[in-house]
Amino acid sequence: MAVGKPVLYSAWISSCSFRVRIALNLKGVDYEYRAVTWNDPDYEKINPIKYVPALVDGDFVVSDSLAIILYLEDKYSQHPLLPQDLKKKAINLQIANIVCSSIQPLQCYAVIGLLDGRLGSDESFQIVRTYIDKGFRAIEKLLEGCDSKYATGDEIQLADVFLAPQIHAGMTRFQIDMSKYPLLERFYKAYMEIPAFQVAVPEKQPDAPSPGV
Amino acid sequence: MATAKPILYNSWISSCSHRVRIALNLKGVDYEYRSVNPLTDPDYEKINPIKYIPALVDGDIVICDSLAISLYLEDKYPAHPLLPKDLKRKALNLQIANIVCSSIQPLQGYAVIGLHKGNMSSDQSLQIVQHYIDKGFRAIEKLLDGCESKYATGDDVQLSDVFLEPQIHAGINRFQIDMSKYPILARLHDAYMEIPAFQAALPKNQPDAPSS
Repeated sequence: MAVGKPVLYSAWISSCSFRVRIALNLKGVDYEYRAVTWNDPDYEKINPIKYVPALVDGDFVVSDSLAIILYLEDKYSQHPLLPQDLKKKAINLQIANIVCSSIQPLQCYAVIGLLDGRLGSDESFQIVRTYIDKGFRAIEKLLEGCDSKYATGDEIQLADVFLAPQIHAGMTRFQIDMSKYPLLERFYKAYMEIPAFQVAVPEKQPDAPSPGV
Repeated sequence: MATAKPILYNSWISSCSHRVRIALNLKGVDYEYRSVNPLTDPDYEKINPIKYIPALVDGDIVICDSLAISLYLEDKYPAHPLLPKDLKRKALNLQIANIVCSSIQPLQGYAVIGLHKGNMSSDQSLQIVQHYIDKGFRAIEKLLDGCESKYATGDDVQLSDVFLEPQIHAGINRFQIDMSKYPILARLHDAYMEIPAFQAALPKNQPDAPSS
């Protein structure tokens, strides 16, 4: 009996889902895309905290983009995302965590606050931009003097997988001026040359709205 | 020449720092405790550009962010492994750790800073914290539904336990969380409090904790 493909529960616009799509593509993993809509009542059985993404691999369910990607790293040896060198590995994890603990949760808080009506649009926007700026400035300092192709070397690593979606969201949804973050701006252009990143962008997902709508 | 001890930049009340103190203690790593207030210490930015604690300086390596530090310690110090080899249990540990460090604590931090800066009232601040702790704790209770092991994912303390205890501690001591709503987590907390590595890491036992 053929083993089923892993199933990725995702939403087109979710930057957390975008990270996992990139990782799956880099590792050449064929997966089934299952779109999750806002407040889908059945999704809670997959992920009790009701966030996307979640990965179902056989009888196994894992949620949270970092947990999913570290699972993929163990299971699929193609295109390793973490270096063996402890220093470089730690920088990759630090950058990934700046994105997934210090930027995106506050972005999510502000976006949901706007949808719920608890926050005005100006206030929501300001919160997102404050935290993106704080995180991006820190990453620019952390990587000061970087002359490699990507964030931590000439191969795509975990840091890049987390940076691309955050930069994309910043540019396309929150009017972030990337010229203030020259390293990140340079990396983003390099990421967008790579098919694994291109195919993962929100606009190309099955549940993305049709252009011009 | 003896290798210098690793230095942990942290503060007594920081739950992110609390996680790393537990991990260091479990692994039997002797470290130097350096208390820092990133809001008032201008030099700390050179250690961590985002000015959060904790940070670990181990020789010429500087690592920031509690999860990055924990995974570094996991690689470098093999005593008391914190991640199982089994991929499913490993993923569950990382998922629970990330619920704490991405879905609960950043919003707690946001609300605490908001109150400190005068951007929100104490009621608003407390409501935000309690909302996100409740959301995260309810999800973890569902994930661990039917758990009969001594700790969250087995009979040995693992990464999820290292991340859970500081969040439970903060909830109880700072944010009036009623742990009877979360029976599995309440039971785990009692079990953690029997362990010397956890007791030694408690905020009140740190050198920079205020005297009562």
